[in-house]
Amino acid sequence: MVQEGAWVDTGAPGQESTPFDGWVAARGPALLKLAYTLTGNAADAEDVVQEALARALPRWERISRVDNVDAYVRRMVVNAHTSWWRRFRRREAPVELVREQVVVAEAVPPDERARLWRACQRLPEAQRTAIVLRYYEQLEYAEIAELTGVREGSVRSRVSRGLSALREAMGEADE
Amino acid sequence: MNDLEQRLTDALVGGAQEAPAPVGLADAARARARSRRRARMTGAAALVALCIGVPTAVVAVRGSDSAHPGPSRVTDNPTGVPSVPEGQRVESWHGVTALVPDSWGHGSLEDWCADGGRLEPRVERPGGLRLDIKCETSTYGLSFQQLPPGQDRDQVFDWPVTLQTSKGWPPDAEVGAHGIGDVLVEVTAPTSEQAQAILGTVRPIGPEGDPNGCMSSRGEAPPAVPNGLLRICRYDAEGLLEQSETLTGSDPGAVIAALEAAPAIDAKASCPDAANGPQPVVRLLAPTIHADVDLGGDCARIHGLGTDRALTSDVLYWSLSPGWSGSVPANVPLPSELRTE
Repeated sequence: MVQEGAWVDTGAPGQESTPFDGWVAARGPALLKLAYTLTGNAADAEDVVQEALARALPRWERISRVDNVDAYVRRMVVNAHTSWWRRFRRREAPVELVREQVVVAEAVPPDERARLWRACQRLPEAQRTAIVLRYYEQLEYAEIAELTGVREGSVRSRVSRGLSALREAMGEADE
Repeated sequence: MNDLEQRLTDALVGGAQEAPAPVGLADAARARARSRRRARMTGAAALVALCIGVPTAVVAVRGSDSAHPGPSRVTDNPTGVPSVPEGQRVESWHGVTALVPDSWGHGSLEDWCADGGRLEPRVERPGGLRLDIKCETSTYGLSFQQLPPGQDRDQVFDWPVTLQTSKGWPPDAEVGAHGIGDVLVEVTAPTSEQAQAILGTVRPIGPEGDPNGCMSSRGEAPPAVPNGLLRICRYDAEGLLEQSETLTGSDPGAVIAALEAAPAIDAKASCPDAANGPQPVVRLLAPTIHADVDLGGDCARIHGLGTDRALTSDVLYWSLSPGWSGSVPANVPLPSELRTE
């Protein structure tokens, strides 16, 4: 058994590819996309995924033996996003320009989809996380509850309130 | 799934396509994991060094004081307040205080590149003027951050120093944080050792005040001020400590001269009762002086000298500590230049 904090050197730059590298190469893009939908900016997304992978790496021997490695690491990404220190960090992605114009998420077309994306990013963190896991990851309420460590009823409430806020942001009547 | 839910899924899936490319993820994670392990080992070593080092440091400071007057930046006082080592200075905000290298500047960590600025460390505190610019990366330094309401006053937590390799951080950014109650102190330094050392100085401000002798709340009675020193304690409108400073050498005399030269004013004639709400105050404390520089808009003035006095540019010159991050009323006579050290 690998103890927490023990160092399992699974390779280094220039060395032969390891199971960890192979898994990251395969699943890294999906993790970054999840992190990007959670955080709303590239810098924080990279930060979150790197943090989760850095925590997973020393325990990779053990993690690689669990039934669903993807779900396990996805949980670590969500936890890295919601951990206490991220909530208090500077949240804006630094950009090298004078902020005289409205900053729009780069390369997102200015259409309704983009409005909805931005409205989602403005949701309170707990609601946004629930919404992303429900409508981006397509998880069931029970799965979200297990992943985020809150009761299923709370997940449903967060999703409901998030949808209501999104309807309002989009100027649509609540159903 | 209704129409909004379907559009939401489409928006999230579409937006996710703008996620960064997974370049070097495994290597970055590996570097971060190594850094974390190194930080744990360094932290343990620092703890051992601290246990051995503190008595030595006390002896060294006392030894120096017994033989020489001591360097002007060292705050030596008999009130039980810790001394400040040479080459460092005190930075306090609300109920928390820390020591940083005296060479560190002040200001936002995000706008350092304005006007050809260099990537040099700063101390950032909430509020104050910020240039409307964000640089490609933040700079090194210490930032005080207000946590959301509802934190346990006695809560203490740590974010271990970790190498940050993602965009937005300066090169070799070793970042860690220490939280006390509702204040988070985040340190970014080019080496893990420096970040650890600075975070190791973060303390709650106790009943003796911070190392400059300033209380965390304006309502608390300050300790006596030793001869030859003058304390500058800046409080916000809620009465919480924003910044502190100790003047030594000839500076205290200059401050007292400026206070005594300020013209007396009729308090009632120039300050309507309705304007007497909570205001930002700079408290100037010397052995025989306890003056409050009230920066409250129409009622800006100096209290505590027997009769109220008008603010003068000389008094403001001393009252506005280097790195001043507050605001001053438009009707006060600002000095032609602000103190930088």
